[in-house]
Amino acid sequence: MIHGRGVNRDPFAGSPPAGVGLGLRSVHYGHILERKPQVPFFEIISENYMGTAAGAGGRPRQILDKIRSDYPIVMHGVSLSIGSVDPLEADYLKKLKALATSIEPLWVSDHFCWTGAHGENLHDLLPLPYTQETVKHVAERVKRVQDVLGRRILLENLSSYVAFEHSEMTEWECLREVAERADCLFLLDINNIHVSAVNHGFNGLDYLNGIPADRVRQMHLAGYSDMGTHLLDTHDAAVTDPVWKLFEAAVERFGAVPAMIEWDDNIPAFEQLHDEAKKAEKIQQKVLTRADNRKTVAA
Amino acid sequence: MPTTAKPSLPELQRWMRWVLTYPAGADHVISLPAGKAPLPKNWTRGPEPKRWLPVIGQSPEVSQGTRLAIYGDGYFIRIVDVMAGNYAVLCAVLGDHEFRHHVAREYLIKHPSIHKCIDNIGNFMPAFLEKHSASRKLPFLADLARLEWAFHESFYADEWPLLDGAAFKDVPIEKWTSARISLDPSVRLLALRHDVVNLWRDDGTWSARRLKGIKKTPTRVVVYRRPDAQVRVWTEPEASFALLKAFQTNQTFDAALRAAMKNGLSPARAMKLFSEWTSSGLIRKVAFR
Repeated sequence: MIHGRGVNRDPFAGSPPAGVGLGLRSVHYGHILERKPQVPFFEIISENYMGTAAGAGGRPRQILDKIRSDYPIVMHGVSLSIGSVDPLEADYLKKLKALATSIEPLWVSDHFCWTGAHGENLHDLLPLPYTQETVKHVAERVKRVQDVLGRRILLENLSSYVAFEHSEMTEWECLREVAERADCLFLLDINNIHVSAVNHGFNGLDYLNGIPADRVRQMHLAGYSDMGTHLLDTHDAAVTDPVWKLFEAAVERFGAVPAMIEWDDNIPAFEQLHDEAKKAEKIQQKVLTRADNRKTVAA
Repeated sequence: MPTTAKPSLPELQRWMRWVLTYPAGADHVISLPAGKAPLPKNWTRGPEPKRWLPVIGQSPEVSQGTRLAIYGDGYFIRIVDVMAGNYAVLCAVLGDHEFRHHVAREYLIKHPSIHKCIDNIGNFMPAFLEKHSASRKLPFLADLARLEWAFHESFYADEWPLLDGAAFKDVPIEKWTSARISLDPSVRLLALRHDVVNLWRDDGTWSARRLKGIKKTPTRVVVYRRPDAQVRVWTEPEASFALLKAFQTNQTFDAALRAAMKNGLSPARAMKLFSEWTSSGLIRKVAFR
């Protein structure tokens, strides 16, 4: 396990932590601090540790600092609103940078979406049309964020329920163009690909094949709810078989990329969550061993 | 692509913001003729901007309305859920349904979030409740909200190191007169009209059985996050409350003492309190000129 601070501050430098990390959730604080389970890294929701208007202290930061002394951390945001037409919020970026400077995460990520506009925050991950206007708009903002943070960020694909008829390209083509223009990286959410594939009628494998492998730095896995006519990304259940299959294909394509289990509602006991991570690790090992064997045979 | 008219990103986001936050539901509003949806009470967003429904994709199984409603319903559920957590006692006192489906929704219509952090939503709740019909039956609601928000703010306040009282033993007495005392950033001093603090037990939990005993009586309350991160609340007599208030408003030690003495606090008692508050962490900084 990697314990030291300063490891992989640039996601391109050194080796990423092997295996499957977990989301750090308050219900598991006690278990983690007391039992120190073998987990390669924890992912935090950045905003949960950036404080409120009243300040940035208190128990969440105390706990995070303790856990950081034992584990690498990755920061995952939900409020950057990189696709919003509102200006980037300087105070938010300042707090994000301060948190990153303090805890030295392996990397910083947020979503390819907008969360609010015209001065209002809807606190949701809202989809963007896949147009050249979006590519230009988002890429410019990603560059500015990366300049402020002094590091490349990872953009995560959404689960979505609305697609826009005036889109000029597929989601993965749009992501690829943004990444090439802004030189940013990807957090690929395998569950989100499956949910959106079902909701919009595309093939998840096409999505995987359309993403440049050298930019993928992390993957997410989670559970969804089947509403009969569509899927809802609820993060309240175990990973489903179709998502495991897509994950296997993703490991085949992207290799030993660190993954992480997201479980945000009806959160189970830590052991059950950890078992889900171990299941993902087994798939990683199986696929990577298979790939190694193929290389050996070919040699 | 089938549509010829394409919204710009600002146009699309302006309309989606409007339709997804419309209280009667996104699916309902798009069933009405464009621009004909009635504007709810306290609605701050004006009439519906140019409608861009043709660019919203659909399928035989899932209509445009259903797709938009997934986001629209989620908007209220998500934010109201956070408010129910930050105002847990208020929610319990009003009843979960009344809080979630009436008070919190009406609040959100009047005060849409302008915050990056979802936990900042709810800061206007005390003032909102002052004029809300629910306060006619339960007149202490605004004070209760004030106290719960103080808990919330105290929990997240900045951290300052504890003060070492021994460092002051050699400071000459004349330097103290102009000294300025800073309380811990988590300290909230509230002058309430009702004794809602009595809902809380000493261990920080609250009791619904104490609701009937709430009286209209001026109450001075201190909210403080202890070094172990537990937030505690207690009442403070008028004189010692005045001393804390004077420290918090950056008065000199001398001026603060005089203010407290006017309220009947003796200098000896004030010094004893100063020592106790330093030990407990309530006082975190002393600046000598």
